[in-house]
Amino acid sequence: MKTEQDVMDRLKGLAPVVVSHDLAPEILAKLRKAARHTRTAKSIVWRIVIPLAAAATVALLLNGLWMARSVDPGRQALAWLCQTQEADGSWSAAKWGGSQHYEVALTGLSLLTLLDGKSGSKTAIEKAIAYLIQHQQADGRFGEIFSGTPYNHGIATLALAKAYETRKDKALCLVLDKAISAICARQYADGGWGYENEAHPASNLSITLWQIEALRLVSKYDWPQVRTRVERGLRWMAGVAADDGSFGYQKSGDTPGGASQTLTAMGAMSLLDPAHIGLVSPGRRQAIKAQMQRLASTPGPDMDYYRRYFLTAALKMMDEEPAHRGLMAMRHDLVTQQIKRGAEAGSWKADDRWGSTGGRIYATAMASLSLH
Amino acid sequence: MPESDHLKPHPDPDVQLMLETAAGSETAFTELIHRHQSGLLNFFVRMGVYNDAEDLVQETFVRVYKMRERYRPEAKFTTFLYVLARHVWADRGRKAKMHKRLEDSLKTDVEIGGGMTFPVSQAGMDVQDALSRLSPKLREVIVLNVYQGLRYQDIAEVLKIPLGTVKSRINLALQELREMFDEN
Repeated sequence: MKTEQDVMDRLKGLAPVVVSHDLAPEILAKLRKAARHTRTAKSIVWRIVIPLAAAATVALLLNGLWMARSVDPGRQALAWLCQTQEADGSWSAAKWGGSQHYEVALTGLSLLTLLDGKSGSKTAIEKAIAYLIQHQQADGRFGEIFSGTPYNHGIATLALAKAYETRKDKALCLVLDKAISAICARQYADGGWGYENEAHPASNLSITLWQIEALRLVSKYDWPQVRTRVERGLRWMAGVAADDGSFGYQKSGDTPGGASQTLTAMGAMSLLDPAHIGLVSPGRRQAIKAQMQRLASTPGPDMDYYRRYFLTAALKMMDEEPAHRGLMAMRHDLVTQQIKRGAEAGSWKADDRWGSTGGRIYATAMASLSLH
Repeated sequence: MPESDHLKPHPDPDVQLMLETAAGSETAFTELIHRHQSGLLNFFVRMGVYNDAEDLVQETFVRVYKMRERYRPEAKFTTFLYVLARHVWADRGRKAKMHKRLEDSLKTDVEIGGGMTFPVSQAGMDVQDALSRLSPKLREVIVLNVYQGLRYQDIAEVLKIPLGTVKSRINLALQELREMFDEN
């Protein structure tokens, strides 16, 4: 044998081995069996260990031996957010594993969490508002201008609108005026919103949702004129829903990146709002609710905080028994995953699919908002 | 908070299927199994596993599923897959060694991993025999490159070794194989 090529040719001459049968059914069966074992173990915990622990706790209480104070997960999350706020009022994306491009959106999400938590530090809230105002561009948009600007802008506007709800501050009113105009100016003819500076601009559900949420909130206060914009946006959103109640990204049935459940939860959150009951037919509405019930009973294999936030919001609007059960189960999951000890106590680990973009600040804000 | 490309279909179908699997799609996971079960089986057989190669394929996919949440689309799916496959192969080797020690201590005469299940031609058996005579370090670079079609850079990532080491191992393996074939 003279050359390495001869050796390679001889190696490649080896006939491939063929699988004796399709292995997929056996692999899936193994996974189901493992999942059943996990459920059984959990069931033992719920049926035996937890009742015993509860009985022991009651006994301790009755005997006056209760020493430990229970910790509220929501308060712990707020405390962590307050501790990690930067001196300029922002939350650093880079420091906590996120993308710096979205620092404004992360600050907006943190501000929403503090405002929603009722017990957020007033100083932290004021500093966050000041930071967002400082980062408003001349044309009304928040943060740097790049393709993802609509996320920064929609979330920051929503957070400031939430702050305006309680204070009706004149300076904030002027800031919101400009921010709302910027959102309205970028609404596409079909009613939706999309990324900045795209070669082929197209509305997408994720961006549209944040703009609608911001407009919907301000329409309740000093900007009733944006209601028609909200309705056009929601009609676009209703147009990407399929007969089975699922939602697409840019059109019905379009669910790239395995985001079907997230998109459906987003659409449901907007269209199940009783204020917009006329935008979808009763049959479609029922199908959307059925999708939500299905998602609530199987909320997905991972802790996708983004999906869980929208799913929680949609379930809260349903006010039905299966939805309540789903909410309780998700709350339990979230509380279980919260870091309980150490420097990061109160936060959530950014280990979901959006974790590399939003980092720990995003995970904690979304999880905390879902808990409320 | 998605970036611009997070909700768009991934150009690599394996990555797309993996993302869908992570989102809970059983159909996508089944499709991934169909796409890679033969390749993985060949990997284990070329690495010297005969009797239970299909079990190791199954074990690898079970691990893929368990690790689905940790998978990041920045990593090539085949790199991710063969890192796990190599761990499965190494674990099987450790278990076989323990089993062997136990058998020795009981003074029994059970052969570990003997008896081929998969039919191979005489010429094929020579090649397979030559592969089995290579050290595991040399064998795996040849198997990953020649049979699994991985580029040197991908092999370096799977084995977590420098690119230069991959090249030198390939050269050394080819040299040893040439000598073995010449002997025959």
